This record gives sequence, C-alpha cells and structure tokens, in this order.
Amino acid sequence: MKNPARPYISVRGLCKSFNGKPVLQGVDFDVAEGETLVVLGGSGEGKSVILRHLNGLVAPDRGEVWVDGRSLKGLDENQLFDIRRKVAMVFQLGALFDSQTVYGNISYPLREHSGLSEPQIAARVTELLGMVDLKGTQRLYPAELSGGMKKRVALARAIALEPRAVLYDEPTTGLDPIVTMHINELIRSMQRRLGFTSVVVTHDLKSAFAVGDRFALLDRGRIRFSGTAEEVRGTRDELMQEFLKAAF
Amino acid sequence: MGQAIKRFLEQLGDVGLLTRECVRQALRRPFEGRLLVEQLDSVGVRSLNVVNLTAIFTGMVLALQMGQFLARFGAKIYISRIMGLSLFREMGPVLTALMIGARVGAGITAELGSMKVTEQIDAMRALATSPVKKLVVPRVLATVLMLPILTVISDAVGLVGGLLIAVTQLGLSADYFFTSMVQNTRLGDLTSGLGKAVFFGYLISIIACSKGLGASGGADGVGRATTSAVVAASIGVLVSDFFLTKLFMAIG
Repeated sequence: MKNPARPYISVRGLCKSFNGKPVLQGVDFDVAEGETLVVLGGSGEGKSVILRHLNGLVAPDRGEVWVDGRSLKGLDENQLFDIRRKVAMVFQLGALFDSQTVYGNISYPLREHSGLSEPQIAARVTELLGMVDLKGTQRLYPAELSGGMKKRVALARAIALEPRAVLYDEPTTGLDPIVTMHINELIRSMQRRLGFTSVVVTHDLKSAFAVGDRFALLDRGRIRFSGTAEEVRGTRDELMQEFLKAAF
Repeated sequence: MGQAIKRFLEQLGDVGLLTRECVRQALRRPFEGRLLVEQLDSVGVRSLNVVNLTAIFTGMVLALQMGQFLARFGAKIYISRIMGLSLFREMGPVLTALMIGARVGAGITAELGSMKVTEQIDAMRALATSPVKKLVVPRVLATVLMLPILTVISDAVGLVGGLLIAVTQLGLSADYFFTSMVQNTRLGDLTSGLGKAVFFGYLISIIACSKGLGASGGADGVGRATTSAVVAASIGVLVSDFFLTKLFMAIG
C-alpha cells in the first residue's frame, strides 16, 4: 500500500432510489490508496449501483463521493471525464464494443486520450494483451471470445491508460471455477504490479478472499460490516457468518 | 389519457435535451469525420434501393390513377404538372422519410438499444468519451444530410415512373411530359420539399437515437424501443408535414 492514511476514494451518506424504491440508504466507506476493497452482498442489493457512483456514471440522490480528494458533486459529464481517466471500470459481461475487434476495443481509449501514434498504439495493445495472456487475439471480434477472454480484454481496455483505480463489477460471475481462479489471479497480480486502488463488487466470497485486502458487506442499502480477512473470519455478524458458511 | 400526455411530454423533453447535447458535442473538437462517412454510407447509399423502388411504383400508380381521372375531363395533358407538384412538394419527401424512418430509424434504435442493454454505452462513458459525440452526432448529421439528397433522387425516379405510364398508357409524348412539367414547376416547389426533408431527417434520427439510448430490459426492451421509434418517427413525419406545409405556404 502506498499511503494507507489517505483514502483515494471516499463515500459518505450515499443514498439512491430507482422509481421510488430505495436501493442505497446511507452508504459510507473509504478505500485507501493502493488497497483492494471488496463490496459483498446478495444479488439486487445495489452493489453495482455503488460502483457506478464512484466514476460518476450514476449521480447520488444524497451523499457525496470523493475521488483523489475531489468531490464528484455537481460535475457535468465533460468534467467527469477527468475522473474517469483516473478511475477505470471493468463491466460485468465485459461490455466490449461488439462492432470492433479486440484491437479496436483496447486501442479505443488510447486513440481517444493518449496522443500516441498508431504504431505506438499497436505496440501498447500488444503489451496489454501480453499482460492478460491473450497475445495474438487482436483481430478477433468479441462474439468469437469466451466469457473469460472477454473479461481479460475488458481488463486490458480498462488499464490501457494506466488508471489510478479500477472498479470491477462482478468480475467472476458466470465463469467456471478454473477460469474464475485465473481471473482472480490476474486481478491480484495486476494490482500488485501496477499498484492501483481497486474496488471489487461480488457475491462470491471465495473470489473476494482471493483478491481483497478489506471487505465490506452491503445489506439493505447500508454497509453492515467491514474489516480485513481476519476480521471477517472472526466476526459475530450473523449475515457475514452466513456468507462464510455458504461459501466454504 | 393523463398518463399518455405525461409520457409524451417526457419524451419530448428527452428529445430536446438530446438535441441540445448533440449540438454541443457536434461543435466540440475533434470532428469525427470517419464516423460521419460510415453513417453517410449506411443511411444514404444503402437506402438507395428501397427509396428507388418506392419512388418508381408510387410515380407509376400516381400517373395511372390521375391519368384515368383526368381523361374523363379531357385533361390528361395536365398530368405531368400535377405529378411534378405532388412529388416535389409532398410524395417525394414524405414517402422517402417514411421509408428511411422504417429502415434507418429502426436500425439506429436497435443498434443503440442493444449497446445500451449490454452496457456498451456506459463503457463509452466510463472510458471518458461521449456516446452522444460518437454515436448520436454522426447518425443525426448523416440523416439530415442524406434525406434531402435521397428525396431529390426519389423525385426524379418517381417522375420517370410517371413518364413510363404517361407514354405507354396515356399516349403522351415524353418530350411534352417533361416540357410541361418543367414549365409549370417553380423552384419553390422543390425547395419546400427539400426543407421538409431536412426537418424529417432530424426528426427521424433524433427520435431513433433517443429511443435507443433509453432502451432497458434486454432483447425485449430493444424490440419495444425499436417499434416505438418507428411509430413515433412515422407519426412525427406525417403530423409535422401538415405544419411545414402551412409554414412553406405562408412563406410563399
């Protein structure tokens, strides 16, 4: 961890309703610089909604989000671009542009923001594909990739601009156990190698332990419990214990 | 009824906001020329067949119906000037718009809608780019530029259809058909039709984009958005045609 004293991402009193139905009802947490926080919770608890607040894809009804000391409150879409260049996101199913090849997908942020020449972009794409063990797949289209490969490409696209933080939305959902293990290892090794801050939302506790430094449990719109792996294992919190029992 | 009005006003608001953002992004550098060219091809060039086919048969039917009617009064020599007027002012722009609304509008909504439900639109935003600039601006510009061009082509092809019938069924000479049409058509007839086409192009594309970006709920949602985009665009074209006709008449 680079500077554990200073949170890179802070969330205070986050509230969000959809169609009158409250989803988040006062969420608070901090993510220290270089740390990996895993937000746990059942399906439909609003984990992905939290994640989408962290790069401004969704604006809160109440509460505030700070990224790198800057509040996202009142920023318009163009002002949020600065934040989003620093905070990348890996979507649940990859969200690759299906009209473009793997090369087109990974080069997209580079072409938009890096100012690199085309040969430099090509070299960077090759390097990124090497990092996610997908060398030589430049010309394939997303429809030709397996679920695990899509997530790897999505990860390569997300880290192309060397973000300071990466948000993962259910990174292992829908993958078989072996691919899940590989993706977890990849997330962990990438995080160690590049040192960025990460927030992972998942309902899969095994994956959570594989990638996380600290864990927060979301229940009925609030963070019910948060702590390290040791604290999770030793907790008396009933819901957390249930999660543990179901996973192991 | 109250609900329907509320929904209509909401959609009008969405279209207004999207238009504002579209103008803002269109003026912002860099200019996405390559994306525009792709759309010009997809909206314009690839719509030629359907527009031409519609135009030639409409022209032929128009000539057949009017020829028979006018012959009763011994007035079939007026056929080309009536055809020129109705094609340039109404049939050309409206029929082209309806065909483009169905072909291009449905395509835009289905494409943007499926991008929306698979989070590709959010991915664009998360990668610090604007989906409006990347997707909406090129589509709206291409449709606004192409619809008048397609309308001119459709006018010409419709007249050829009419000419075919006038010569083969009504016994008029091709020479007379053209001379009479050209002599009796004013430039204003053509330009009022083209003015309509520009507006229809905007209407179709902005509705299609707005419905696509607003799609939710998987394949089913995309299907619903597509249907409602085509219906809204068609009604929009027919209703606005009336007001545009009044407007152009007032301008003279």
